Amino acid sequence: MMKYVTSVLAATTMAMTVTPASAQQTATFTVTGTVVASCGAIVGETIAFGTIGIGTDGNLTSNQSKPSGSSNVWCNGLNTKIKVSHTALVTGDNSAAPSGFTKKIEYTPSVSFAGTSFGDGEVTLGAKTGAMIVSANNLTAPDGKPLAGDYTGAITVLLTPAI
Amino acid sequence: MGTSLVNGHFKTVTILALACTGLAPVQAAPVQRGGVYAVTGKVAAACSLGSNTAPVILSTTVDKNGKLDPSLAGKTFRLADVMCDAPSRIALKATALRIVTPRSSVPNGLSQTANFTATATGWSPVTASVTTAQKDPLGSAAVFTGTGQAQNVAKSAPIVISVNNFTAVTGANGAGWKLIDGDYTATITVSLTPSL
Repeated sequence: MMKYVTSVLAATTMAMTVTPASAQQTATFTVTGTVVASCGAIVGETIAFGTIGIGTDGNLTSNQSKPSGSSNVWCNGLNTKIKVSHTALVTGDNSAAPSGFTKKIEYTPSVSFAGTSFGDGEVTLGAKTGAMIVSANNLTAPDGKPLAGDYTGAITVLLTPAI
Repeated sequence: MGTSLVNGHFKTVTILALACTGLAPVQAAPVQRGGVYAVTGKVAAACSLGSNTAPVILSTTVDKNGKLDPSLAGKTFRLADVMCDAPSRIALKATALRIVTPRSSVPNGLSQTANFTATATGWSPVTASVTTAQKDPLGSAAVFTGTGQAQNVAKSAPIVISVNNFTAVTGANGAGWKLIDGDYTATITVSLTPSL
């Protein structure tokens, strides 16, 4: 009987020695990704004044402005910049206009983007999403009476995405 | 579990190695977005006589001597603030100088109508003019049209209308060299037509 007990204990001891205790192990999986700073495309269009108003004195009538249609634009980078530039409305070639007249009509451009208005120049826009409306405002002809003809100019909006 | 761990380490080591050798995927540079909004408009070809009221009214009174006021010859009318923003054409129209209340007949030797010439200077290189051509001492309300003259570029300037060469309309027998006394009037119309 004593021999049996000893034998059992020995067996148990051996078993404990052979089978190690279960140990907890941890590994961390880092998940990463990058959202590239970007902006949605801007689809330019034509801002058409049609016939520009002139008074009986030949000068432009006041308060002539025209907006573009609205388009949805987005930029996701906090340091995205917006740059607005424009060229005046001009007609004909570069030859001089007759005395008292001009071939150039000026205006003030503005870009309304998600409720914030931007003029000529470059500023930090930030991340924005919303409606963009581009306008040519307050036609003026400081150099004289506008010569009859078809006039063309342009407003350029440039978005430079940045994180 | 042990096998997964081993594989996970392998993955990590592999990616780091790629990064070190510059073989990791390169992020695309931010793309600028630009939009061009063309702005267009048209200034119509137009002319304006400014605040001048048209037509020009020529008035005079003839007294019993039957002669026109000599100061009438050379009388001028200045139309200020006239402009055309395009090349244009100027033309004059006029009625003869005729008594305001015309009679249906006039005694032999008298007339109630005088022809004259109106000219417009200051606009076209060639002076525009009109000469009335009534042939009957009774006259009529007929409007005579002069030959138009071109102004080849846009212009902003005053126009001066002058009247000259007044001649009482004589009858077939030569009568009518004297005018019936009374008030006389004529109208002169200046037309500017733009062309582009």
